[in-house]
Amino acid sequence: MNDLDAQSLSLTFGNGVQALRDVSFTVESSEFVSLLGPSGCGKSTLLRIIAGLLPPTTGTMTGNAAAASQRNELSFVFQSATLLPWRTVAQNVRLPLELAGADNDASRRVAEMVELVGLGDFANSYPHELSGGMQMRASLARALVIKPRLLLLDEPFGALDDITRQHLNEELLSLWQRDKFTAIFVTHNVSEAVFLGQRVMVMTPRPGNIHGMFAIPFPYPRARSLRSSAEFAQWNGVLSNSIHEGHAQVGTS
Amino acid sequence: MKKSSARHVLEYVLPPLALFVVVLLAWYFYASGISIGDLVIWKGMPKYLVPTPSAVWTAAVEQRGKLAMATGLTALGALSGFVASLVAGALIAFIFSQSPMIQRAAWPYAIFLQTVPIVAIAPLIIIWFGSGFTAIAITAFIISLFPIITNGTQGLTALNPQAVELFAIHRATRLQKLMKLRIPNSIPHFVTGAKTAGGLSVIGGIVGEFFAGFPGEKFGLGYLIYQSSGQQKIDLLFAAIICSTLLGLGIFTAVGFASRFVLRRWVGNEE
Ligand SMILES: Nc1ncnc2c1ncn2[C@@H]1O[C@H](COP(=O)(O)OP(=O)(O)O)[C@@H](O)[C@H]1O
Ligand SMILES: [Mg+2]
Repeated sequence: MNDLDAQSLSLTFGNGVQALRDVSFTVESSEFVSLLGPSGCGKSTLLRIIAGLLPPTTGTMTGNAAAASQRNELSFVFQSATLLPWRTVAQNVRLPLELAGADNDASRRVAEMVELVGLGDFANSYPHELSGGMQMRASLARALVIKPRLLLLDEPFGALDDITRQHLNEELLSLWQRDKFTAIFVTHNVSEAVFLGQRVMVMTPRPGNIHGMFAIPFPYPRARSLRSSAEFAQWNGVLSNSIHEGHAQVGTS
Repeated sequence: MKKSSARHVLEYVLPPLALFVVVLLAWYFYASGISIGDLVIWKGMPKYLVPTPSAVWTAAVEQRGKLAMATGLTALGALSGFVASLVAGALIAFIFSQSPMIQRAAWPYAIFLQTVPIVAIAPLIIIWFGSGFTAIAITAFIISLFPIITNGTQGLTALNPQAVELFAIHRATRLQKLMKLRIPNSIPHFVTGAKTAGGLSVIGGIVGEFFAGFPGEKFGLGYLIYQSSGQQKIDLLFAAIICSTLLGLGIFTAVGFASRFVLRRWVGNEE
């Protein structure tokens, strides 16, 4: 059985905006899928449906990881780090464990996670004392501290500079290889989608729909050098074309 | 640390102190006149209109018992009213945040707290509760309540939507959300409300007593101002005004310090 099996998901908001129409896809266990599309095509909406935050108007979500949140197996990384400003890094990372009723092991888990994202020296710092990239690392640590089965990421590195973004891409992949969670990573950045995903789902807008599905053949671990290879550039081209095609089809290019 | 605190004194304490001396000198010459030898540049003001600083000082020393009693009573009354408004305001804000229905129902009456002229209800308060401490405290309470309620309700309800989703994803209970999100989120808002309320409580306490003033065996600054102006004791009036200002300043500074202490950890939220 797949981890996620989405069948004909549609969602129309109360104001009449149809954000998604007839979206179907599957995600295997421990798979890393990039969800690529321009702003406003419904990526965040789709992610919120998967998270169970928003019920679809029609369609169903099944699979082992459906309703993962009810078993405390789901984490979500938001566009902004969303750290609680009155808590230190360690206390922020600890939050999901507290909400689930922290056990004796919690402090060790928290320390390990904080160390793993490279914030060992900042465990007792407050969020406003950290750079944007460090805040996002803390946010990742908070998401992974519960050992989620399913990790949803909504343009988490979109607000960071390119260098930091690339570093975090590499770190995220090594965390994924270590913990083997299922990941759905939303981005509107083509090369980020290619670098990260085993598969890239391309979404097109008005209404949001999946236009293409691409298996990216590069083996893991993916090193920084991959970005400067000719094959990487080719894949960027293929996906860019797919996005533009999708735009052309709905008559908006 | 030592060095920076010395610099702090230089930058923030010295200038106002210097200005104080300048103002004192200006006041002195304005009241008593300026002359060089026989040449009169400014003849000064009559004693019954503007007393000299030294006359005010003499009056203050002579009447120190009365001044201290009045200042103490107003301070105690205003502070009690202020603290009561913090407790009651927090409670009301909490109830409002739990039920939008109750909030809508009660909102017009909360507005009433802000719009009612304190001078209009001051006589009523004195009739009901007597003059002195109780009257001062109740007036201060009424006038400080509104900013606590509005800021508090805002802090308990205006949450970062992503933080709300975070709590939902991790299946936080209503109580967990209250304790770990709503209440901590509201603290800076309560502090903002408290800063406003602290200043208002002193003004309310003085103004209310001033307008409704009739003498008890104990009275505060409001009544002292009323009485000394009625008796044309202009130097005592000045002393009472200065005490009022110092009291306001004292409470303002105290609330400021308390808020800095409370907000140590909320910096990211506030500034
Ligand atoms: N709560 C909402 N109410 C109404 N319309 C919404 C709401 N959220 C998003 N939309 C609309 O749905 C569409 C998809 O939005 P979104 O999922 O945020 O896109 P993306 O994440 O790809 O940028 C947009 O046209 C947006 O304006
Ligand atoms: Mg989005």
